[in-house]
Amino acid sequence: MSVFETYQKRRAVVEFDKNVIIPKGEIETMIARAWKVTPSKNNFMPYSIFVLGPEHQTYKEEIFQLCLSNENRIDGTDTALKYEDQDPFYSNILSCSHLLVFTLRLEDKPNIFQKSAMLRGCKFEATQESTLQSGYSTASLETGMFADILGGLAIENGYDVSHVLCFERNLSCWSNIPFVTRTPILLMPIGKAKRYKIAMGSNRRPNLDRIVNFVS
Amino acid sequence: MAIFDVYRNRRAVLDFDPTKHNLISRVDMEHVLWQAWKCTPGKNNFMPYNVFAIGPDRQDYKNLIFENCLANEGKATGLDVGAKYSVPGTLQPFYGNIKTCSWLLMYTLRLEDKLNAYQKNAIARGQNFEYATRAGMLKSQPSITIEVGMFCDLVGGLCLEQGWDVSQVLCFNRNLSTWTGLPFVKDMPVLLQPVGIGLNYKPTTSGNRRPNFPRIVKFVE
Repeated sequence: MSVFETYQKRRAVVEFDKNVIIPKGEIETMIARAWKVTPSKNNFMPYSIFVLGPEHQTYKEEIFQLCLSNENRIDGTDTALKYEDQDPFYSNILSCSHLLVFTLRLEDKPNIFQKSAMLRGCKFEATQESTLQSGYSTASLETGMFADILGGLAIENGYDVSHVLCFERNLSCWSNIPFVTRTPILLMPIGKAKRYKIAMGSNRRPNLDRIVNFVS
Repeated sequence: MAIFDVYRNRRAVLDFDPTKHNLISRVDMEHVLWQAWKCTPGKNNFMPYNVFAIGPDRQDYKNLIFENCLANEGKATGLDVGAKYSVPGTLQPFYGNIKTCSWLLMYTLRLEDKLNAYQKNAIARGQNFEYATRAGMLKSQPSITIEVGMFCDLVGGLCLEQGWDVSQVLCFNRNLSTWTGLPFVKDMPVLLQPVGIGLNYKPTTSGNRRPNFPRIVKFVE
């Protein structure tokens, strides 16, 4: 199957099938392959990926609440009322087999090349607490690349993925999730879809020529 | 070919082969970008970024962009990079591949000024879309960058499948005032992605390996 054919199968997941659990060995292989082929500026990979399996439903519920409170705060709406009849799309966090939490990562063990570059005066954002946050955008871009490859590998294996960006970035809100000690970047639920979002004619992406411009 | 087999062919490109620009036509590039546009997800279907494709005919723009990277490196390191790279035998900056690529894709932020019907209705119902205002767009730059990462990664896979090479350059000045020589750049650049046929690749050095898998990925017990 070509790259295009694989990625064309990516669909927005409303709910995952809780009965389908991805075997640990299989998810490990997919993530290891994404790790192997995702490029990174100066080989830092300034992000951590925390993998929450099906046994961690409590953490998933905590994280779901963080998404809800974030939406509450941003829209100023009562989400309890808003979601009386329907679930927010990020509720797929609750039904996924595995939830991946990407966060910033401080590099405290630079490799030989990085160490010698630092001795020559090079400064790397990922190696210092004081500059780590200023590398958030770079880490976000690389996280997007990692997530994209992992998504392709998951689709190829017959699974579905989702990407959730609606959550609290403020680290103090994550105090109930002990392993999250750096700013979160992305949530990525993975599993086998039970229901997909229905494509609506009124909610199409911008036309190609509004995104891609050939410079003459 | 399986996804892993496609992406494992990605190598860090030092120079692209300028004699092979004709192997990637505008139609070829358009097709790859259409496929990436078609398959990249976007939060609330905004896709709040532009992709500017600079072809082989605009070497002047590529040179200007290279100069921006060079000046940025000088600013970031405090070194006289002109002197640094003029010493014979010195490894040239890896972003020098900007000058030799067939196509340079430049990603910038994009403010959505033509909402679709669904987005308009949602706003009328009180929903906030950060990508629909300039202040919100700038504040959401990291989220937009994730989406750009996904788009560029797919472009990469599609190019590799064709036997082309890609690179990603992040060493440039984000300040819009430094981009006045490029009239199409109206919002903050977030990524440069040179595409072409590789001529020289960066040798793998054992002293510069990526962090081990367990240092990046942690299965929560």
